[in-house]
Amino acid sequence: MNLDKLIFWFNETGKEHNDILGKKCANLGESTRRGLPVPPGFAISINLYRKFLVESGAGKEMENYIESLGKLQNREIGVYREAGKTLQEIILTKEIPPTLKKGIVSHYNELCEKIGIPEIAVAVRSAGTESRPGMFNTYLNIKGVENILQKVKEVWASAYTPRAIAFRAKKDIPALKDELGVGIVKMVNAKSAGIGFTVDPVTADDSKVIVEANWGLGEGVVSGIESVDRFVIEKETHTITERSVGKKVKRVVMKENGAEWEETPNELQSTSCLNDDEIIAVVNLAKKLENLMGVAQDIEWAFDGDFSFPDNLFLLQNRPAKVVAKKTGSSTDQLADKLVGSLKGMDLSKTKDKIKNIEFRF
Amino acid sequence: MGNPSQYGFSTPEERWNKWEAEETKSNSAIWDIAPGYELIPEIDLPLFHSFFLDGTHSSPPVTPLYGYQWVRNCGIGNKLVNIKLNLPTCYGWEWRYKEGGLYVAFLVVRDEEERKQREIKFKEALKPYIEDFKGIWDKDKETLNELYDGLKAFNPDTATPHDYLNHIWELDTAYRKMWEIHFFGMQTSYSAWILLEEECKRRFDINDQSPEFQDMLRGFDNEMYQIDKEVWQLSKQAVKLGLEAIFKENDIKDVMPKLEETDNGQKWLKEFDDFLQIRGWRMVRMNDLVDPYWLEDPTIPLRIMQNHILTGSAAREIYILDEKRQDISVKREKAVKNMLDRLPEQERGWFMALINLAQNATSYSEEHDLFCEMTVQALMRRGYLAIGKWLTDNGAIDCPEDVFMMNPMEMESAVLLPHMNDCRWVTRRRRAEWEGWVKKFETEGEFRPPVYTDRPGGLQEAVGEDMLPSLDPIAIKIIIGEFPVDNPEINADIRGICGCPGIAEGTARVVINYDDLNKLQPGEILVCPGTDPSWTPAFGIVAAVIGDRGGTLSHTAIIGREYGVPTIINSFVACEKIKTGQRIKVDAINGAIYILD
Repeated sequence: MNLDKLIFWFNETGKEHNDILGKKCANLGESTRRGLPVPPGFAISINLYRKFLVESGAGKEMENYIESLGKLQNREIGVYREAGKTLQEIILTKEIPPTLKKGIVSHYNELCEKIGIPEIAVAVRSAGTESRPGMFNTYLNIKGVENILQKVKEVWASAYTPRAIAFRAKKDIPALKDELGVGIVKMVNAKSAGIGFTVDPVTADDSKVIVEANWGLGEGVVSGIESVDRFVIEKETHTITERSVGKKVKRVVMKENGAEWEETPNELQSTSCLNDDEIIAVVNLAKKLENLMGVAQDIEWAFDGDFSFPDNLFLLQNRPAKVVAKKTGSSTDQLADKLVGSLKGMDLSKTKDKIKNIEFRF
Repeated sequence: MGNPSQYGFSTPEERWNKWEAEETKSNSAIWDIAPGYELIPEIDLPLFHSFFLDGTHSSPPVTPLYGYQWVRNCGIGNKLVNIKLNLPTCYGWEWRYKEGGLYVAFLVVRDEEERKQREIKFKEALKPYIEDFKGIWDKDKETLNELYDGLKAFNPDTATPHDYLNHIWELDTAYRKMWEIHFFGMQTSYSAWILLEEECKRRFDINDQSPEFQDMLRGFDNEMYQIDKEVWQLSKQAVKLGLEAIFKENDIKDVMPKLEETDNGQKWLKEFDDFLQIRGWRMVRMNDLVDPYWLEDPTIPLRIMQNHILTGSAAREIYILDEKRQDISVKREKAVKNMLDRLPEQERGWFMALINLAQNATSYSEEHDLFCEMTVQALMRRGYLAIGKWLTDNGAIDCPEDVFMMNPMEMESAVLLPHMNDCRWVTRRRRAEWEGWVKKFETEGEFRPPVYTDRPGGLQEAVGEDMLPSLDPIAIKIIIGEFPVDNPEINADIRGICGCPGIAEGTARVVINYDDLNKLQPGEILVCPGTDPSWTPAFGIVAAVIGDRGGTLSHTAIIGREYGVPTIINSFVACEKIKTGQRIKVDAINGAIYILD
């Protein structure tokens, strides 16, 4: 391995690069290497970020600032807010040094060339060495060299949001930890997208695959705020045992400079966003990953509207599935879990919508 | 000590009026009926934000005594239970009394971290109920019966002032204890009903109004139905003894004197009295103390028997519910089996436990009314009326019923030396006030605001912010229930939700008060605001039932299912829009009501 290498194509990396690329990129690399349908792209290593810190002088400034704050644990929210603002500003106001910049730019240009589209749209994704779901930023549909360089800095800076600082302070993790790698991934022009689980995260039932999907980009499912389509499929027989088509009022689509929520056209709202062949293709993909990785998987996938089935299914992300329930347990245990869980899962937004139409008396 | 003549030699009422006029701005004048529990928006709203009118339990406006007991003890019971169970989302309920209305605020747990901590404890607390709900409820029933036996030992005929005083305290304690037991059963079993509904909806798109769901949860006997059956058996016995004519030809108040005149009549009356001694501690009306209980006024059950005889149901060989239950039980077993078959092997265990607990919710929902509210309130009525009589005999109040205008603290201060404690300045004023509310309610309908809130968005925001986030199963299933969904394809005149599936057509009979229930004819469709257990026998003769208020676990829905009568609930406006005598059609599965005339 070339220790000086700062940027990796996905087919050059794998699990062994966890610590220098961040988990997300290392996993994407592992998948590419194993022939999984990952959109093409490259990973900007944490070492490159560190070089940026040293060469731009940002690192020293940040260290000095943090030292001046003293111990961060159990401080009031204002302190974290102020620290976040200052640290992010330090990063965002620094230029990426020319040698580093050149590396990123040349990789991006090469990517455009390979695909045959100039200024190809990419996702700029954060990749930390620890799993902190939802904590760091990811930017979608970014085009052009300058925009990409800007978003790379914004991803780095997202390690220093007040929330992230407060989180680390609470866990007694040094304030300047969570240095981030960045993935530059070809944007999938998703007609539909979603997630797949090779184990039921609540019941630990591993005999089925659970697929949730929405029109548009995957953010429309992952954010968990919209009603989506849900399918449960027997892992062995591929029988679809549950099929609930949600009213998908909104979806996330690509707009000129990023992804946005928009109203889903009426005729699509209550239509299933996947046909049975597509569902089974997702199941096969999830199963393949589970076999490769040796543990149950939680995947994000998308169907690209610019290609035709079956070559249009892309894997966007995968990680070991987190299971809440213990696998064994008495019926009493399981039901008690469910009863408690139901209080969390109850969908208040639907009930709230209903209230609007009713004049009611108690 | 102030100068006794400082207010002049006026009547107590005049002195009160003068004092109140001078003191209205002070807090001491604001709290009158239920000190500490009367709704003062300026004080309560900044603390609790929204108080919702519980119309289910305070329509028509309840008396000061009942209101006082409810807001104190229902709140204490609920809070105690939530402290023990640690319901993750709600600390408990805070109640207030205003204009005869019972207002409730839900004390929502808003901190995520705290919810998580409570979830762990709640889960442990639920386990014994999952494993043996019935066993726990059986023990609770024993506890309640022992408590009631203690109260029954009070003898109004021989009571001394000391006994009256003790009885006031005993009643307080019993009522509070009742509420505690009441909420243990309810919080644990209703959660199961809601989860079962969620699971069925998510997995199979079945909600709790669909037949597949409801079939799993009906066809159970309970002590409430036993009593209904005993009433039916007594009417059958009357026919067997040749007393049919006496029931048929006489006005209900003359039936007992006429029965006294014959040997068989006396024989029957003895059986009737045995029944009353055991079963007669049962209030007609669930939510106040002003109406008599069966033992006090035997014509109440007698009228049900008369109805059995007049409608011919006394001639049946098998009790109607027993007959229905056979079919319904078979259906239930099948429905449960079908449901389990749809599930993967490894999930069947806990799902069966869930169905069991939800089934208990149905039985409990009915049976607890009898063991909890109806019995203790009969004993409260008896005890308070005895105290009322003692106070009346000694000139402290105008009539025994005026005791319902007092709170227990006022009773205890007057009961030892009633001839020295003229309370009429309190009772007359409050009676006038309460009767005013009732009259207004009868002539104008609900005049009390549905909510007192400081949320700028009014009722909707209050529900969204201060009720729903409590995720309180009782609030959700009983106090609000599901709302009818607008479905333009079904062109119904009125929409509600399905309490029990089925289609029926018939003549409407709008019944607002229990007293008018005996006008109901066989085959008619009962249209009412809602029912309580005293209405149960009506379900045996109607073609369908429409209840304007109530969720799928309301009395109306549960009894509808046990009798297999098409039932629509939460229709809100049926009593207003439908007139007695109109032909109407009920399509319960779709929650649709059609006015055909």
